[in-house]
Amino acid sequence: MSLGFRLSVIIFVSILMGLGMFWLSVGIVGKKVRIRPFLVYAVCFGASYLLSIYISFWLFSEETVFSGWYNVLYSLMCYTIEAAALGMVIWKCYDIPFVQGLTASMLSHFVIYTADEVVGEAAATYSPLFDRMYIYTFVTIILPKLWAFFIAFLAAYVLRKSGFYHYFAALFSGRLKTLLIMSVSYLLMFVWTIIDYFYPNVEPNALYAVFFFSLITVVLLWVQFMAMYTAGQEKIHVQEETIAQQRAHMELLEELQQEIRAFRHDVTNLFSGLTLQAQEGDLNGIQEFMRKTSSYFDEKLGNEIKQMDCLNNIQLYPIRSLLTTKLAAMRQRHMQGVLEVLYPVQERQMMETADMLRGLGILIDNAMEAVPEKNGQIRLVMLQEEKELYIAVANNYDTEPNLNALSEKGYTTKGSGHGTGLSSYRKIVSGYPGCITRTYLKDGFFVQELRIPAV
Amino acid sequence: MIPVYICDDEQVISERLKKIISDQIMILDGDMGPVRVADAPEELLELQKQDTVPAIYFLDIDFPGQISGLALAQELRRHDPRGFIVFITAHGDLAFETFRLRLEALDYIVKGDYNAMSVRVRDCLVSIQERLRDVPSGQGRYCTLKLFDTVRHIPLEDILYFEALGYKHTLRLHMINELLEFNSSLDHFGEQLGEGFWRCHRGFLVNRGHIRAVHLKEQIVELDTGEECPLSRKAKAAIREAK
Repeated sequence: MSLGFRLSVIIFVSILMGLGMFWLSVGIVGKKVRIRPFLVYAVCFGASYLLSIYISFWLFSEETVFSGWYNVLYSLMCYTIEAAALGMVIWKCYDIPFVQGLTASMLSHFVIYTADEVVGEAAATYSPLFDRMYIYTFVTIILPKLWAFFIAFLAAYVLRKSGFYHYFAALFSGRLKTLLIMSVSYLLMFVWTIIDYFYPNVEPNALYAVFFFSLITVVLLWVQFMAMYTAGQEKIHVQEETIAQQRAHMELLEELQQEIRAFRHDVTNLFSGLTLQAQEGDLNGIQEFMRKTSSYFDEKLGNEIKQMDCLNNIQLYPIRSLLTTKLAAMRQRHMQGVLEVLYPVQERQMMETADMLRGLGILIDNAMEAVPEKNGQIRLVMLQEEKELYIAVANNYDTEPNLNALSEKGYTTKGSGHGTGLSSYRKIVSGYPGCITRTYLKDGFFVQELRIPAV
Repeated sequence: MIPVYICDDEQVISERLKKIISDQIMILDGDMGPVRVADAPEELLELQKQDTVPAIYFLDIDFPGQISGLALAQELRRHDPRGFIVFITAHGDLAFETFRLRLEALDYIVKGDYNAMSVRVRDCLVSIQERLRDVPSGQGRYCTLKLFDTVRHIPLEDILYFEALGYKHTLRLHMINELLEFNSSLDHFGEQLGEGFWRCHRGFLVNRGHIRAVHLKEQIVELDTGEECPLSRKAKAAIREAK
């Protein structure tokens, strides 16, 4: 065979395999296939493919290259690099976390190589020995790759249609889960290398093909089931939280109602006294009464009603219930919590409500941890403006926080175990490049500001 | 002299306030005045442009049928980011935290008893005097930041260093007692701030005035607050050459 033919076969195969891997991985994470990221990956893939082949022939003798252990070592290194490269491309171009991209690429690697290998082996065993190498090459190399690509395309289509990516992210919610899914995928990626090493001369037959295609199916189903199960658990957890928050809101309402009832009782009593004084013509007594009671209503109910008004201004319901719960928690722990929302806060922020919820929750939790035991004060301000939503969380403190240490990971004044919140807050906000955050100390208060551009 | 403005739609209140303020300025021997009264927000905005900034503003919270005190204050801040704003209110239930945090308003004064108002005004003016003494006006240079539609002027001596964060053109500005993260580029500030700042690393722009020492061996720039910035090989080579 001429060198040109060999080269073009290798290039064709690498592009086809690269495209298959890319297509399936992108399908797993539920994104559209775009040309630019693919080209980036294809160049990486093709170059590494060609390079690795030439380097191994250049460095070692032919016998070494075709020996079993070399093959294992070679695959181990090559596949890992390939998968990592694809993971990187997905991470950079699609903004999917690296671990997810990496797992997706490892899984697709497994699917494609299995499809390719089974058909390739079968072709090599059963195809008649053509005397012309070109046809042989076509049947044993190109045809299986085409088949593998077809499988990848089909799997990607099914996964995308079934909305698999909704569940996929849930697999990475815990450290243990991430570790498990990643190690399983990593092992799967080397299934063929391992089999080749231990049983180099297996005769492919129908049983063999059935086994491996059912393996692909089982693995995909298993991943899908795992993902759906975890996602379901998450959903239940979120719902439980919402219920707890709504309960807190109800309790606040009930409290208010109790106070109104007591107030009504007071007012009736007071006015019967007043009527008596008026009948007697006791003008001084009446003036004295007016002076005493004019601020009575404000003191009794003013704060609660103001707080309710502010809460009602928040039209983002999850945020409203978060604030209700937190304000109730502050009351319970004898902290003075003040919320001010002057204008309606609408759902036209650039930030997803779920992320806003998490971010705000972290800021408030931090404030509640930082206030002094006695006379803790927390102020929450949300101000909807034309171009932005302004949020501020301020608290007083015992020990002055060190702002510059604050920018480092895991800073806390409370000992180990705390302080992980702030770094996740940073991570959330950094996902929205238009946001402005500000942290400062002023008049004995530690203030965290977040300004989110409006859409 | 720092001009003083009063804006309230009730003439009785604004006249009384004018008298209180003038008296207190005299007692404190403050470098403030003249005291001008505007009946409507628009009038105040006109007046503001005719005199110098920073200025002191005493503003009513709500003007019936006109722009709110909050909007007025925001408009005033546009021209005078470092001015002093004090709110006047009929009752104690105003949303003062919003004003204090969003507009950096100084304080508020409750309308009513003459003596109580005098005490409050006096406190405000004393606090303004102190703040003015801490930051001598017009002497230091400022770094101008545009954040959405507000402008901030930060005294250069408050700035420690700028740090470029890895993702998407975000800068973290380290100041004394403040951290600010926003979208911009180091090159932009490198040009704006000129000689007083040094690009000691691809991702760091340090205020020369706050450098305590440069450790060539450890490749670290130490600041007078004890913080450390990395020193790049390029910047190190430049120092070696200069020697």
